[in-house]
Amino acid sequence: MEIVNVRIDERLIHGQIAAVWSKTTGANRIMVIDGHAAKDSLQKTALKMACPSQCKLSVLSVGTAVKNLLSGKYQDEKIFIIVKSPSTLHEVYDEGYHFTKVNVGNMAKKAGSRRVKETVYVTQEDESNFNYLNNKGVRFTAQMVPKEEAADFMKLLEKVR
Amino acid sequence: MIGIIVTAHGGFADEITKSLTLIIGAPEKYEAVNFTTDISGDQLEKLLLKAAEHLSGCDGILILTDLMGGTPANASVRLKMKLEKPVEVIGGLNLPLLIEASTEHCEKTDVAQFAKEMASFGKENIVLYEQEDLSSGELDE
Repeated sequence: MEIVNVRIDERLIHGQIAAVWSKTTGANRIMVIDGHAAKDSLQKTALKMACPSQCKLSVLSVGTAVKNLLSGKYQDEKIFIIVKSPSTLHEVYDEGYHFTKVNVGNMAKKAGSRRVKETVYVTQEDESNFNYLNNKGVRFTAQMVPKEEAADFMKLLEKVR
Repeated sequence: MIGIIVTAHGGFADEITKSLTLIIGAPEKYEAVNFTTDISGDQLEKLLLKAAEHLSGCDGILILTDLMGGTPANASVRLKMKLEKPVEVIGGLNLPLLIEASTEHCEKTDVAQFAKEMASFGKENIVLYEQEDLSSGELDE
């Protein structure tokens, strides 16, 4: 099993993922880790429609995702993990699945959020989750599409503090 | 490398380029040419020629036009006949086709073959959404 990318993207599977990232990373499974989506058949149907044909799809709660990732269920697969927010990654980490690199794609503007870069806005809560994981040694990049250079996300976050 | 020119009626060429850029980032070796009401077919052809000159380092040029038989396509076909460099013209531009062409063109050199593949890709990617039973097919839950 190879994790080809861990991405924070509020829009989960959308054009940038379906048409570009899934191909450039060579992923053959997209794993959406999201407790709400895992329980919602409407969201699951939409994710299934958006999932590119060369990829299998997983829509899992944090608990199931960690269990599956640790169990060796996806031997020989190349997995692209997508979550909506850093809080989900915080949970995944604490549940026992440890990743080392995360790319921040899209996080929409919310009440009380600050703009880190185009298409990325963070709240105080997001920031504490980023800091928590950063202190554990997780590296964060910010790259919306592969053609864009991968910036050091924590440095960008530092600038808007 | 194959260069890409997108040309269409009104502001479509510029606008679809914005959509493309939102999805894949800024494309390389790429020119967008609008056919607006204030220019003639001959003037459009001149603009296309200028766009082709910007792509002079490419092995060939693929021109994507909105509508076969329309002025952008007609001017593109005239350009194809005048240029020595290999040029292919596709009518019926859509976003899946444009994304595919703009992510694959850097590695390609044979524009005739590339144009055939892209025309098929564009056709295959006009799809009707059909409600699927979630239990059918694979979904890891």
